[in-house]
Amino acid sequence: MKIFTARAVHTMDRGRPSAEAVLVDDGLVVAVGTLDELRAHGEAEVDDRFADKVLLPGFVEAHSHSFEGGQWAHTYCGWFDRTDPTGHVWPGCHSIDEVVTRLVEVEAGMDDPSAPLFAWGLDPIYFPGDRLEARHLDAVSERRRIFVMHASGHLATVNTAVIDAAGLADGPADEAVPRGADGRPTGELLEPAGMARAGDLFPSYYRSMASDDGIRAFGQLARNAGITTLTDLGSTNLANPKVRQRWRTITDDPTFPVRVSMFHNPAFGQGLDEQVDMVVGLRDESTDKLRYGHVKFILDGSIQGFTARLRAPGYLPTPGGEARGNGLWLVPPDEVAGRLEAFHRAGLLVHAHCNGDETVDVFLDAVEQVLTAAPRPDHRHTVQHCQLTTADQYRRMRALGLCANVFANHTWYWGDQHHDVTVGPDRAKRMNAAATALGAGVPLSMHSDAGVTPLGPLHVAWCAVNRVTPSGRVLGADERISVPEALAAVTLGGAYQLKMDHEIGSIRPGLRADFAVLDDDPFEIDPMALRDVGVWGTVLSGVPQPADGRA
Amino acid sequence: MTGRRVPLTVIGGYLGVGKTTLVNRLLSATNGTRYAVLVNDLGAVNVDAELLESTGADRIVLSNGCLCCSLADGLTEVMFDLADRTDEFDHVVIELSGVGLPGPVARWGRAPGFVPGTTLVLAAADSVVDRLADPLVGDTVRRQLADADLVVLTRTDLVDTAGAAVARAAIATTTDAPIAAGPSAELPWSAIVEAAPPGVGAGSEVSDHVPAGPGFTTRAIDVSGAGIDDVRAWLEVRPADVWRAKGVVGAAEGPHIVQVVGRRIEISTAPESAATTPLVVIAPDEVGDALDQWIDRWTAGR
Repeated sequence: MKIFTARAVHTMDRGRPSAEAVLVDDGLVVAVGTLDELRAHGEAEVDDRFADKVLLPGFVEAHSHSFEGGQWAHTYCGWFDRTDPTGHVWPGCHSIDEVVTRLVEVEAGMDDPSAPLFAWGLDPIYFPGDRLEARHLDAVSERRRIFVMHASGHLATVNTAVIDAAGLADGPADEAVPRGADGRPTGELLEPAGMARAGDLFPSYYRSMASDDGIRAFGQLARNAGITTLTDLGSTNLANPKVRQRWRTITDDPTFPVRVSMFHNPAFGQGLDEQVDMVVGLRDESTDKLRYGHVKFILDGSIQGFTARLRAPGYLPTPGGEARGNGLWLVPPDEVAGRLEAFHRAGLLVHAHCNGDETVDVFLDAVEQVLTAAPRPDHRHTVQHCQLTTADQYRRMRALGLCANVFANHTWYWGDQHHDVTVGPDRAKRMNAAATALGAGVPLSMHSDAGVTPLGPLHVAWCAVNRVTPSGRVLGADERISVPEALAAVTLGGAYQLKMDHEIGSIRPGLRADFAVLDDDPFEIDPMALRDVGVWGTVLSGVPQPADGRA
Repeated sequence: MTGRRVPLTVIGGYLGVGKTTLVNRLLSATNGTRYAVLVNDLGAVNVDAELLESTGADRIVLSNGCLCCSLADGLTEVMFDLADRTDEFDHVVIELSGVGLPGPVARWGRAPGFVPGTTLVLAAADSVVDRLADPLVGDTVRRQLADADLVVLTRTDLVDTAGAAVARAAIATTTDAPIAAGPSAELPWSAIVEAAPPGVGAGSEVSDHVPAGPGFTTRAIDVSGAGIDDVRAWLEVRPADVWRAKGVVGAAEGPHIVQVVGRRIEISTAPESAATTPLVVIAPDEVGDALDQWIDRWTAGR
């Protein structure tokens, strides 16, 4: 038995919200309390390494994707500062010139002259009126092939070395490889079909997202952010036994510092009945650190990509005044209820990606239909993202027993764009309405959708508490929530939606000894400083897991 | 990579329009073409038991050389895989989901390993009007039809003449692609889908291959010796309803593969050694006279 003393232990458990120490045995919490109270359980070693730290339940990231780790095999060139798995902060690139400068530095350090240079994270939405083109990348190298993936994942920009090697200037022009006024390809390659024109580069980049090193990096990034339970929400084909074996081997390694809940996405699958059987069967392969048994639907696209399905009045017109069409369905609306019913009747938990409010309507209709036909207590089906979910929808979600996992990080990463470009000031202020969700009594979690935005529950909570954008505006002051509400959402709230709140998400006797170890007390500081609280690392099943550079 | 490039056909359309029926018909009557068909649900592939060679979790192999692949690893991964072994089949057919947009998928036709084939979008005569007016999916159906090279109007046996005319008029508001119509059992699917003219791919001889059936008509025209630009100019003034034309034209500049795919014309050079063929044209019965006049224009112009 071991006692961890701390400056404070915040438990997220109403029966004992805070304490000065926690007693751990065999990976579980035995008790929280004062040192004297804990000694009542018998002899225990006192570990005071956290005496000046603050312990919270380990953070739960209930919507993330493992490619967050894989992309760090390549050079980051996004607009925001971003921390790599070793803890090194890569400053954001705020102009095309800064992107080029970053790539020049990295190129200069490459030994193999024939190796391609891959980069990622570029988001032209932050460079209005200017687009990265081949001519910019030619200043990095005229000979080395360069492939820059955009943050959306929908397009890449390549240099002239790629254009020439792949013969992209030959033959007639087409939509996947746009051309400039001079008739030459600009260097942009649109959608997978366009990126595939760059020969072996796209398959190589694509497959690197799911490498073993990438999965390990995903775990490191999580630990460095104080996360003890992660999700891979439908981005891995679980039907493939070799893929599951890789995850098993990596997560069984004691140095892999986090639990992962792997959701099945029916887009990777054949035949609904077979999929239901597969997911039910996979539960038996679950371990302490690797969980199977839940399902993720993706029903629409993204708001900043104009592919989420919106209720009227839809998207703002283009800067040129043209009306924008509505977004894309990824599943026929007529099929949503049938798919949900198959998994629901088997007792499985379904999380549905719904960015737009029209999509939420379709999902709620499906849930109501399925629950009427097949009532099931405590299903905990969850609407993921909820970016434009409205007050009436939250009230209906409450009535249907649904949970909300809100994409709070969007307020920071795209809040100004939503205000100015996608939906306009009114709806931008209502987006990611955590206060409305809580007011309606809907169980709440909040997420990063990593690698879309970086893993970092303290940042997610900071967004929901402050709703500040990079331009300095407070976007929807009335939807701000309190620090305790936000921290509950990224701990117990996530655990509840993963059906793990009897194991993790709070600190109390019998639960797993999973803690986030923080340098400061988030309950005591200025809420604007919440995202700046240092993370020492975590404790997983009672074992300290220091972040890189800590010990 | 094998260096070989095979045509890529995309079959789109909302739920219930007959996409899977079309796939099953193609696989059952292949004219010798080895299709690799990508489907969302392998369980819906329904061919004669005697054609089944092996059935796996993500793949069905048929004794006629065809292959059905699931999209379980995602389209991108499956396309990488197919591009690496294009010597094993002659033609890729992708069946989209009911809300898939054909355009972005058809663009794989210019990726390594592939050449563009036909983008067919199916619409059901008894539902397309309602679908286009549907507040949730109307815009999706409209965008699907706008991406079509050729629209196929199915389930025409379930509506009367007036109903079919209303369906055609609704489709015509979305696209200028020709509309092939008929009971699905009777349409010349393989002739419409197959990209390679006889003699280029694995197909049979021309004389065996000019299809015929109720509702449509075919012509075979010898355009050899002409300049390829003249052939193109003549094709551009074809009757609007021509569904398909294909041939290896012995043009003055050398052999060329000439295709009309609905509203699109594709002309590319063929190997010097390629055997030339007449240009085979497939069109609905009712444009037979216009077709003859158009052919007469060619003959008169020579």
